[in-house]
Amino acid sequence: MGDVLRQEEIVNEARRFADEEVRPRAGEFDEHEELPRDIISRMAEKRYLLASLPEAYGGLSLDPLYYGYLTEAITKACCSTGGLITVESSLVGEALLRCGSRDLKDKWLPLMASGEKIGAFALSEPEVGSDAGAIRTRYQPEAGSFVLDGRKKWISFGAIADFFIVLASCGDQKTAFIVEREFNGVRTQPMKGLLARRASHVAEVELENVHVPAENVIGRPGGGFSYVVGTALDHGRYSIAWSGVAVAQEALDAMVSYARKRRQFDKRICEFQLVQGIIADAVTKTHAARALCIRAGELRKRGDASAVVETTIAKYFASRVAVEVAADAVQVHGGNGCSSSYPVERLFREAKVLEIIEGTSQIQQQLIARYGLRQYCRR
Amino acid sequence: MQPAEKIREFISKNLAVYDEGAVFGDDDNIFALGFVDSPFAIQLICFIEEEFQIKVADDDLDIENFTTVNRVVEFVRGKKGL
Repeated sequence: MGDVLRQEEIVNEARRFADEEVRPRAGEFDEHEELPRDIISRMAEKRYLLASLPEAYGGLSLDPLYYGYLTEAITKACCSTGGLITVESSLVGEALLRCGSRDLKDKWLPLMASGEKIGAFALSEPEVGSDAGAIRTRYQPEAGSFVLDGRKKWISFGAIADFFIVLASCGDQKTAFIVEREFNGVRTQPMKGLLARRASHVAEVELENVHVPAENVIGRPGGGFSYVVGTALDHGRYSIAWSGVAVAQEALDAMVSYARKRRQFDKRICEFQLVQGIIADAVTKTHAARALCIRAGELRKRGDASAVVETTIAKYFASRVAVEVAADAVQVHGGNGCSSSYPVERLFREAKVLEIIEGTSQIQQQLIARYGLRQYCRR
Repeated sequence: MQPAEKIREFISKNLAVYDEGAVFGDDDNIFALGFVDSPFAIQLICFIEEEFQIKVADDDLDIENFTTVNRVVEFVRGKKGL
């Protein structure tokens, strides 16, 4: 019971932090396309960056359910701020925790938790998205180290990252490496003009003849795709599922608040049944998405193998709900919803990205369909 | 139920092929045969840890340890010191 209370207090504090320090500036972050250092430092002070990781590494030891609640609380206020937790905790932190050597964990995780070093997960490439197994970035063993060449794209926080987990291939083998920004041959180019996640420092990463020491290999050579990417995407999808709930709930809050104030035809628009229909659907969908996330979180907490597919289902559904509810929130706002003076304009853009990152909805559908085809066949 | 039976049953429940005639022996490489999809590698690790109450360490994460029923059995026995 003591640990539940501890975690509840952390999440309650995260909600206060989001309300007081993040939400008021979310529009500014989006407009300036930058998550400022002071916010990153505050998140580090509060140990949110590696929230799901053990306290021994500087994390908060949140169990999956409370990690989900924390993700929702921060992402609800600002998707890029929440995205930093997804990248640091779920993608980089969990992959290192599961697959990294003791030396790598001891070196990098405390630095990440304190905000001294930012990590990024470099999987996607200009020509490789969903077909992640087809990556073109190459590595060659050379005198006890490895030489990497290639280009990565759409790397969240890549423009400010101090190191990257890079997936590269050599023949049929795919291996994950820690590549430090200061290594010769590493260059990054910020990507601007994006639909959403504008403050997430998204970048292209170029690797030209980069020498990486053998101790920077994560896990065993050849285990990069099945285990490092598999772990990162599984945790990443869980985080994105909760991000879907966050965006849907934020849009719902905005929709309801606006509908209760806005007057047309001498009535508040919430009195019109057609508007009530929109609100009813948004409430139902948001509650359903949260229920799927909670179910996935409980299974993850138990270490149940079915958590992988339940997480996929939650991510697929919650991201779709975010898109639908954010679109309806714009609809209820009418012309005002098309203006950046109202947060729903940003939420509408942010929601769409959730159907793409950490596996598109179509990839999730394939995985869910395979599960359904074997699970629900009468024999 | 013996470890081999539990592992065989778990793999059978998670096959990514729907041909009723698809069968695998205890020495067949289920990954090379395309019998399972990409998330299965992580699912199998979760299953092994939960079912046999062992911790799969970073050094153990070699796909060769988990490609066949017999290799998984061997891995579990090694971990449990059997």
